Amino acid sequence: MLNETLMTLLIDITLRHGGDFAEVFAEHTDCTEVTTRGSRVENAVSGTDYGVGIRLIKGDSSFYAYANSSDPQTLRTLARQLSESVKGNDGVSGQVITLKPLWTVSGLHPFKNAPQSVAMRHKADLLKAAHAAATACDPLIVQTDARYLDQDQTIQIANSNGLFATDRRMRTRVLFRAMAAYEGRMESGYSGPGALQGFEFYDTCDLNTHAVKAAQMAATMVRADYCPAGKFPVIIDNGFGGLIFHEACGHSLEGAAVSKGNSVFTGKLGQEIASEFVTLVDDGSIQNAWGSTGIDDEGTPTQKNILIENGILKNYMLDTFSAKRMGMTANGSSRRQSYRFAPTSRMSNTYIDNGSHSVSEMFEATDNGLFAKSLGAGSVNPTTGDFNFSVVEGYWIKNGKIEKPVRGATLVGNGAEILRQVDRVGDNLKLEQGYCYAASGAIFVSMGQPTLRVQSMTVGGRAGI
Amino acid sequence: MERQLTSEVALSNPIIESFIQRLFDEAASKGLSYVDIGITEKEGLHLTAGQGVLEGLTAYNERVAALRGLYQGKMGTTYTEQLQVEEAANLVQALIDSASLNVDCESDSLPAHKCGGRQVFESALSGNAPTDITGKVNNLLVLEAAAVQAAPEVQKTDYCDYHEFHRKRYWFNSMGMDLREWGSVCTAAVSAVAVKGEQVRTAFAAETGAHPDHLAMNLLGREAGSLAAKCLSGGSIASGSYPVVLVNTVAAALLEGFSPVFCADRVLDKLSLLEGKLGQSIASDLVSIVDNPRLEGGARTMHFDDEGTLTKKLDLVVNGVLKSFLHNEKTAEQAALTTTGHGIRSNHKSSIEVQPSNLWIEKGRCSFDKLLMQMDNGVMITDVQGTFAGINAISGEFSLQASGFKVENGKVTDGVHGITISGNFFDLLREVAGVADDLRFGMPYGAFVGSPSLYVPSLTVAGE
Repeated sequence: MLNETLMTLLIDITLRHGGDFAEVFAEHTDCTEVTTRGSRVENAVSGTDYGVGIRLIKGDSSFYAYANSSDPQTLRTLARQLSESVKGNDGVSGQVITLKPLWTVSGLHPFKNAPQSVAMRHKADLLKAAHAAATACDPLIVQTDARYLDQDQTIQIANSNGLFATDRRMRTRVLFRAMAAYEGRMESGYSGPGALQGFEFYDTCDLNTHAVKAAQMAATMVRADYCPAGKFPVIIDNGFGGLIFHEACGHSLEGAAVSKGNSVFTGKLGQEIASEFVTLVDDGSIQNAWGSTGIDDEGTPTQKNILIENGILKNYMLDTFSAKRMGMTANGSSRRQSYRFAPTSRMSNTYIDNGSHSVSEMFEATDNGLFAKSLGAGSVNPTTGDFNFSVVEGYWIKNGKIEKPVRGATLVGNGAEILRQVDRVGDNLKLEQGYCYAASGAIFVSMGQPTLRVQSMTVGGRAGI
Repeated sequence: MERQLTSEVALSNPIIESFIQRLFDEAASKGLSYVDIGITEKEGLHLTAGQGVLEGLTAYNERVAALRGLYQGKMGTTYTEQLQVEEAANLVQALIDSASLNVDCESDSLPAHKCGGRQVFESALSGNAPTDITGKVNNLLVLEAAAVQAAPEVQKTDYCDYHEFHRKRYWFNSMGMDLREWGSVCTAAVSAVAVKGEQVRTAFAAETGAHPDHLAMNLLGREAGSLAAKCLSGGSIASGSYPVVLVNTVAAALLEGFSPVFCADRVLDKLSLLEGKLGQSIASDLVSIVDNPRLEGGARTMHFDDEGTLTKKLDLVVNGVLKSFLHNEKTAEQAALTTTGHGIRSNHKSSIEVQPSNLWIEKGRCSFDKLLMQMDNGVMITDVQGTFAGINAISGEFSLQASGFKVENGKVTDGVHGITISGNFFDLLREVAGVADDLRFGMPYGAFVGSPSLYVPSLTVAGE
């Protein structure tokens, strides 16, 4: 990694022709990936990523340069080229930067078995056992694939405000998929547990249970009818069901879009934007949670941020740049995939907090609607608020009871409207793991919620209207 | 000031060449019977604009390599971002370690020991790295201004980007093969925001070419701006089955989402419903699909794949009949065929898979206006969202958030939004009843996929 002297020098060079702020981000990540298809190991590879990204901010403009080199000469040249992006000679050039004593975040997210200490074979064995469990569970299962990933990421951040911080993040995850075939059709089921932890995660997380869950999902869906198309009430199960809020309002509450006026929630602090049952939290400090970090990728400590409280908009997720634009304070929400990206405001572990409605009553109150048990993925346009997500395991509710499984539906809605349509929130909050792709790259996030009901959504099925 | 470089000059690289020499010497001395290495050097620039000024600039320079090696009959893989001569020994050791562990890695096929000498390729119209950043920034601001000026309701853009990169690829093996090529890709993209009262609509337009001069910023900006303004009209529609015209970019997005069905690795693993259908009619006779890694100006143009196989154009579907799948060496061996040169890695860390390069549905004969008249009454879809979520390449099913316009008597009328379109890709291919002449490609992430606008007599639309 880089030493303090070099980092100070790079900041100094970067600001030579002007600018308000400069930052150096260095990263060293050891990564292992094992993929299987069926009981066969397809790929098992380890390697190291190493690189440095330098950021220069002047006014409302952000300039970034990165290289995957550790050579001081290359980095000095990179900083010099970056400094030339900025015209004019105002700003803090010539100022002597003194970095405050190094502070390292440690112990907030304890780990025991660094993944490099675990043989590749053990990792492959985990996946093979999962495959066996999945195929044993239902004769319709014809194929599985699995992807094991672990990462040991060390970062260093130094900036022109004198910050110098480091963090080490140990992560592990398996994404398991089972495929079932029936009468010329095929459907898939998924499960993807992970944590900010070492390999000891698999002592408490039984991967075979997840494999069986994925297999049962696939086997149920392949025998299912098409989902109806139209507008219906939707009950979304707890856990990854939180994806609806990740898409419906999560991205629209990220500071970058809000501060540029590109969000439906710009300028609405203090206003009622959701039903009284909705409290939305983003918390990057939850111990060992998949979306957590000790400090964010600008060096700000992570914390619990209540974004919506009983329907009232309280806060946004703020990185330094967007916070400054709005006269607010950065709150630990700045993230980037790697040194190849400038950081920006992003989610971490995002969830709807527990309410007090009964889950069984939710069903009883639904005459004709969809029970979305597992969601797949989705996307949103924060400017308009239009969002979508796919249901990978669904059931039709008729007269208050689950009638039959249904497959193949995407649900769409608008963030500004959907939050008001939440009329019941249960008390069985659960968080599950996923990925989020946006401006600063792909990052690891959790999403969660209790089981809840949305009064009306457009359901994009194919069956009889 | 742009210097004209010949490929030979631009692609000669003493640092890499001495590294390769050391690598192969070290590998031979440690008992590896074969090594190959693919190196990619990328130099790029990404500009973002907003509010009439440059908001962001990212410049980067990277060099990555992916290696395969044979040790005692087993294959090992590794990757690196450090290509100094001193690293050669570490890499060889990593290959040996990986090969030893790959007692578990039961991939049957081992890399073919290709022989051959040195070949240098240049993608047409490429290679000259434009250096004038100020000019490119001004160009991007022209794009933004064109979008905003396209209609009075357009207030701003929420996305206005220019991205260019210059890529050099090298492929060497210990049998003396030495393949080199270089090329450039530039993309401009803009999303215009139109506002009327409480309504906010956005519309997106993008273009990719080999050189910034190929991108028509004014036209692109006007396209996004005027479409955003038109989208302000109308609302949802009744749920039901409708005749649908999928505009070219929407059809391309669908083809891209379903492109895995043409990849032999999915087919052989029983993950594609096209299995067993070679020689059969799988689409309407108006549909022909091509993959051409030699397309001039294609974003994924490559003269050799990541296994060192020289590439060529491939007909996948001809007048509705499935002619071929995409193959790499491993799938070709399993299917008793020859590789089609589609052994491609997603990135330097991944293994060699099967992927399309430049993939498209061939254009038809009728104009877009004639296609609308052929449909007469129905819905024209101009945008779909959530393709990575709402497309299931295994089942063929799709359900996507969509927006567009009603078509009445062959003419575009009110806007339609807040809907989904759903169907099955294989049914859609068979039912295509009209193909326009307006072939257009999508964004250059991964495969570069294009399509003309298509008319499909019936898709399910969910709205009210």
